Amino acid sequence: MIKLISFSNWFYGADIILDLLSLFIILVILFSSIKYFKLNKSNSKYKYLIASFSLLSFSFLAKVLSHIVIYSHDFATKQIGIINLTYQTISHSTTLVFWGILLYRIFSLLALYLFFLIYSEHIEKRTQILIVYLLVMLGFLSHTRFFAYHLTFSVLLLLNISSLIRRNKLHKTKQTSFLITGFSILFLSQLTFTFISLAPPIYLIGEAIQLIGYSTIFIGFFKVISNGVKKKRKN
Amino acid sequence: MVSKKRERIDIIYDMLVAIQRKGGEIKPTHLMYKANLAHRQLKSYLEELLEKNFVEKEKRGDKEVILITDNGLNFIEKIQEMRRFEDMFKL
Repeated sequence: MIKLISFSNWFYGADIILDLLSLFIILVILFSSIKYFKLNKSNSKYKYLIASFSLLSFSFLAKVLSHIVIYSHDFATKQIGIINLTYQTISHSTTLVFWGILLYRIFSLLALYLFFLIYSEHIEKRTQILIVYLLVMLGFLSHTRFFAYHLTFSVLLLLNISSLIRRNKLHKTKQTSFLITGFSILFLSQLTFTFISLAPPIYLIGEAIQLIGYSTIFIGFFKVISNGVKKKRKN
Repeated sequence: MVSKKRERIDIIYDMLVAIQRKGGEIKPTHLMYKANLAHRQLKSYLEELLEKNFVEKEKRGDKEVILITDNGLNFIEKIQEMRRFEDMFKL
């Protein structure tokens, strides 16, 4: 059964706006990686990166859509005020919200796992399939134990951070440092989300931290582009 | 440390950068040495560069020179941007 948390009015839409901003950053990086992959198709790691950011963008889309349904349902029950109609709205929206949140969780976990595979291609295919299966199952089961999702997301983030730190030691770049910092901030946001049950506004704080995380990654990406612009100006 | 095999894109980039560093024009033999290519390879890659309008050939007396075009210069920038992106994500 789905549990709908009711938020105060000021809360409506604020998280959706934050998620849309994060989605925008993810889409910019996704389209850029597709553009660069077209230039260098021999680098198979791009496929993992593109798949990872595609799933991440789908997950955010599913989350945003399901939250729109939650809020519109909440408004509908307030405004219509007729028991039958309210009941119908709830049953429709619970199904949509259920699938929306479920896809959000599964896609985001798989996205981070695919990112992890960029640096761990040597993992046997059968093991990869098993991990995908376990992550999908965890996505389903975390419906009743939401903190399991946030903890798993945090662990995957930590694994990716450690891979990036190791590689950045060999060949240090500012852009990667921003990526590592961004992932670390995302890790903090996931830890914040595990405390949602204490007070609903914690959710919005987590969302804000999450946006700061994606923005930090975007700064790193901006450095990738701006370096070229500086050179053009010099010429 | 084992050196990585140069991909097609790396060779094209090296050729274009070699021309750029020579002030935008280079003799084919110089390009062959600068880009570390065999004669047959040079011919094949040069055809591709001409086809993509990254370079132009010009006759200077009885000799031939290769000139880099604006497209070629833009391509160098694109590759450099791509490499920075690959560096960022350690691809």
